[in-house]
Amino acid sequence: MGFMRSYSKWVENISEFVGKGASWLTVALMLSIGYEVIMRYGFRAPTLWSFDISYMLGGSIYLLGLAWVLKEDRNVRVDIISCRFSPKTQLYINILFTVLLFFPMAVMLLKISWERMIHSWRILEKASYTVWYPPIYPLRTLVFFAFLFWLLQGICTFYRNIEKLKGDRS
Amino acid sequence: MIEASPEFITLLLFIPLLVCILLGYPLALALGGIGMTVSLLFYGPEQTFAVFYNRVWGVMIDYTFLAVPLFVFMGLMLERSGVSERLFGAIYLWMGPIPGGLAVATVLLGTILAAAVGIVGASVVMLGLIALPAMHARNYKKELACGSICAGGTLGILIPPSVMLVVYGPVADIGVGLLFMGAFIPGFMLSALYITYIIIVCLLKPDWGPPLPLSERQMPISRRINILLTSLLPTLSIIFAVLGTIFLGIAAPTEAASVGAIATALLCAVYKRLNLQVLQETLYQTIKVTSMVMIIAMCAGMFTATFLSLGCGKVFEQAILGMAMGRWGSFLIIHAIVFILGMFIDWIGIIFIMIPLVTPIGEALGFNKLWFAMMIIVNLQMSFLTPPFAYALFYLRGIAQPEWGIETHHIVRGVIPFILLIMVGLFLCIVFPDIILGLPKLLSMK
Repeated sequence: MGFMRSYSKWVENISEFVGKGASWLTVALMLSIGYEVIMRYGFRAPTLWSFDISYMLGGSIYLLGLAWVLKEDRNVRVDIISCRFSPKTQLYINILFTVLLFFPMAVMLLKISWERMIHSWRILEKASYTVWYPPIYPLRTLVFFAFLFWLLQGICTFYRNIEKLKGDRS
Repeated sequence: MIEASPEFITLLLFIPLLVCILLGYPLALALGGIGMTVSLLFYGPEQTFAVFYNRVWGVMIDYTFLAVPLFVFMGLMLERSGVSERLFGAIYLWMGPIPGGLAVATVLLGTILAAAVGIVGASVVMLGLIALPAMHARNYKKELACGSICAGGTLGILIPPSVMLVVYGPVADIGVGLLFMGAFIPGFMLSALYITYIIIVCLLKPDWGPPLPLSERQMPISRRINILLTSLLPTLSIIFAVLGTIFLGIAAPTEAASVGAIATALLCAVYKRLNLQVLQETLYQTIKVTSMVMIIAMCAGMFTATFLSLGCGKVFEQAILGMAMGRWGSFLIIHAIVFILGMFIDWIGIIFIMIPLVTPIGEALGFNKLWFAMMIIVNLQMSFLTPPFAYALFYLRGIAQPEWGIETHHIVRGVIPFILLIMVGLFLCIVFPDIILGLPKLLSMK
């Protein structure tokens, strides 16, 4: 399993790197909206671009953090019952539901976001939420890659759990 | 595709969800996975995939949700600014002579922080780190100390700005600005109830919270005023920057959130607490909390899309209305459900799963929409305090030093009176609906 081990190391680094990098977009988000507030209420000259830029930044923050959250196991869960199970049982539960629920969902989201991304590039789609009509295919591309990192991290977490289970046995 | 009665589908969705949640699988993944499986059974892949993608996209482009990372950042930044230590010192100088003065100061600080912080973790941790050592040193009764910290800290998620209200608004289709206005007075009412309780109990049992010894109280009044003003003003200006702009109808909550976030970072810089490392850690923490909340928003959206489109909302509605308990009976049942769920599930889950279900019922029963929403939000205050799953208790247990001898049962017994006080608060809001509706009416009249 040498391949899986180096794969996991790589993917974990990517998840963390992407999450940390994306966290700086929060600063950009603050400045984008802050600038809009100053221009609109201070100078009565609202910007054309702030609304679009802001939701693009926000959406990127939500999605690019997903893999990191999964890697650090920070997803919200209710552990009042499961904390009484043995670590082995907990691992079995996690592995079972990852196969039944996580993988199908992640694969589905990856497939549909791939299709939307291709379609978006083909027609050079523009967002029509404001009169600025910015190109929206970069954001559609980002959605695809965010779900790709998410799935890759999911595979990695899955592998780590199986390793732990094996370690318990030996 | 397959045909099945909505009652059957309701069970098909909820029983696996319950199993997954209780077995400790992450809430978001359970919601999304089960929603997808059921949707595939009844709608087939093409429609399911399209609906789910649109749910994700819908959350991404929602302008109101953008306030979530901003308020999270603001709360975490304020935690780093050291402003709460200054405030606590100043308030304590004034509250010292009162019986239970430290506990009163804790709740007061919690109230002020609540108006600047929108996440529950930040204010409980801040209060715990500052007030718990002080109360321990003064031999406060452990139960009273823990209870006042948990109760005062959880005000942060009720008194605006609050991430809970930001999330609630789009889910229930109510303006977040309106929710902010509605939550203001109930928040202060709870704070007043807490303080009254602390003073009364400390008058009856003086050893629960002894007042400050005379030697520590002697300070000229001009100096005390000076300390209070210098520590209070920066925080108040941030509060005004955020709440003032929303209440006066100048800015949308998202815009106010960004102004507040920038202002808090500047405050940190003025106090010389801001450097690259602090900023970096705050940002890392922000994206983790944000992604954690938003993945639930997206996955719960997928779940409820399946749920509602297959007619299960009606099943739920008829089940509650069909009990023939009358208007208030149904109201009581809804609140009992929210309360019980609050003991076991995270508030984020409750909002995203329950609110799409109960909001139409509230309307069918003829309740005012804002009032109904606010009652549930106040009810959810208890979910932070009710074991076995209670955020405030977890945080407090995490920061209590072992040598203080604080056990979980101290904390649990400590919060019970405050849970009862929230119930009193809910009752008051029923008798006097203007506690909730007064401020929105007043502000929208001008």
